Amino acid sequence: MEIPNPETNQPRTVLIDPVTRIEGHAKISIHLDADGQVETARFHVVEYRGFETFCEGRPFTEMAAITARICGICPVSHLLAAAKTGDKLLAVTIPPAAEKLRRLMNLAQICQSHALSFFHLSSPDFLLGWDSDPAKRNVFGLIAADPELARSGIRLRQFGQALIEALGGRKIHAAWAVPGGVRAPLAEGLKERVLGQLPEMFAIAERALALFKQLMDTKLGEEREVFGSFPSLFMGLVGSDGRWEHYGGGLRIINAEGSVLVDGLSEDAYASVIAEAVEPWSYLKFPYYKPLGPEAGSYRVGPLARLNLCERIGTPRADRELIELRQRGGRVVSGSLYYHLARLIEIVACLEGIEALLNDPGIEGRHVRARASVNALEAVGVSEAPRGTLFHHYRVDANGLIEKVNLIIATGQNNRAMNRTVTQIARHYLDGAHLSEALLNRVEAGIRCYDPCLSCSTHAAGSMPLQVRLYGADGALVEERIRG
Amino acid sequence: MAPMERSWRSGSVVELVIGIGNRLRSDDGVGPRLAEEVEAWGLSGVESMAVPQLTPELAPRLAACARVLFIDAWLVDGVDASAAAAPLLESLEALELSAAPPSRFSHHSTPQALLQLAEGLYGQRPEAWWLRVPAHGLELGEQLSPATAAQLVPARRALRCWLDRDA
Repeated sequence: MEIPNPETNQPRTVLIDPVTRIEGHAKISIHLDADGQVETARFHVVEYRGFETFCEGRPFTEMAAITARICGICPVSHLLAAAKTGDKLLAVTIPPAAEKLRRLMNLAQICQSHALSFFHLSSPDFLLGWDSDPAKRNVFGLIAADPELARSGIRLRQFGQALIEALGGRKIHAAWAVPGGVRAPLAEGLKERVLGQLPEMFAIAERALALFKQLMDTKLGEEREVFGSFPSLFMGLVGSDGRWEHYGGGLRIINAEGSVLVDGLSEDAYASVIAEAVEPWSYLKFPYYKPLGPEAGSYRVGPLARLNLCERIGTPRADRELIELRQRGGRVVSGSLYYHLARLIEIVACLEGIEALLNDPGIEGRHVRARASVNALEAVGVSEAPRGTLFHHYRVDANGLIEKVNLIIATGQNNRAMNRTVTQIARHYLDGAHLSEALLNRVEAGIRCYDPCLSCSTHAAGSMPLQVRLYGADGALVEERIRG
Repeated sequence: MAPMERSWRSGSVVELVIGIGNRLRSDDGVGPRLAEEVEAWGLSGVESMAVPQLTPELAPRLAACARVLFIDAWLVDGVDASAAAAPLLESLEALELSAAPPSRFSHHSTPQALLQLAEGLYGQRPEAWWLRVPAHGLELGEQLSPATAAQLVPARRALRCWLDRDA
């Protein structure tokens, strides 16, 4: 914590320290200039992850299971990226049924992850108001205000989780996707069961969409402009025909005006356009588009990026919503509050995608795994995680033992955007003399737009509180606030 | 460990054992490890699951069972560690835990918050217990520390007590 001292004309620092053990340690510091104005803000990740080193020396065939266990939040994303990397080390084309099954699991994952983010983490902000009692502005307040909405979120979560479990086995980290395909074909009866649940899931998603669109149009006008609204690049996978993509396709990068900077790039060539900067105050790297450098080349990934990048989603309900999104925010939507709307649209897209896949007879194929030995010593796999593009890059020896691993995670790619978002919010709401609830609520909510996941993690009993400290000009502690 | 005598159990009673933690984070994996042992015992009327963290969709499952036991690692250090902490089996009703949910900065929940969610949304909460096993290290690794591994025997004993309703 830097101590404010106007006499020396040194910058002052306000530190917000939200820490739970489960998702790594993180904190937010807001740096003030000598005039008490916000100079910049930083979202720090202060825990070294070290997974890459942990993986070295292990057979690449174990990577899907290991990396899926690393993250309790989006294990399917790591599972698929690892399996795709493994496919390329084997140099095989996986059976068509296996690809459809992997796609099915990824859609279920995106659906259930977005449901948690919107219904339980973020909707209390919108429905109960930024300045409502923090003790009530949570899922319990949501239960009191709109219990059906809270139950709906759980139903969507259950739907996605149940589909994942039905495909991959009961345990969330089961290594169902393996290099060469998947371990088991579609179980008998699953198709009918899931299709039977879809009408209810569509109704839930569409009700949430209607609610959030109304809020965006009536109550959230200021937040649309203040919560991470800035020009930036966007990156993600796009299908070869310009469709929304989550598993295959090629990498596309566009700028804030919608000009395509990179298109159809194979993940194998990611290092030709993406570099990773480091900062001394965070263990989380800062990936950027190389030709423009770390600042101008920073880009956003995730739901909003995917919708900005594609020409269309390719399914009727989601495409209608995409048109509405662009009517509200423009062809390239720059406000990060729209991430929430993008999540809901993607839930609809996922449900439609699940329906289409299950109605495709090809998904019922029984041949789901190609087998081979190591045929390549280096490979890159990519998938779209709920939070954005996820890269796995492995180098192995002739026996398939991992020599080097690089993981580029979605939250890292949104790192610079999260910093800019916090800065923008702090500049707008910090009054310089008081660390108000209004500021804290909005800073947290600004970060929540990206639904960051620093999971990588432990879950030992006990958690650390949100600690907020404000120091006066003389260096004395003026105010400390702790949230449980 | 042999399956226990379950003759007293009626078909409608469901007990849920939830082991929380990450098997790749050393002692944090003690909860899932014990939950998987319970699953392997194959006890009728007992459902066991290992989860990396508690999430809202568990609430309806809680509301549908009669009793739940959360097994979690309990990071001990300093004074606690020197006191050679042993596993603690406690009724969650008796513990004065914060009723507030954790920060929404995080994706995880707490046993108490999940119980409240079950009650608030589904009108029922089960009798709830918490088995906390001392953890001494959470670094990346698949093995328990010797100190935590030594607590597996008393932890299994506590589990047996809970399943036999002796707790």
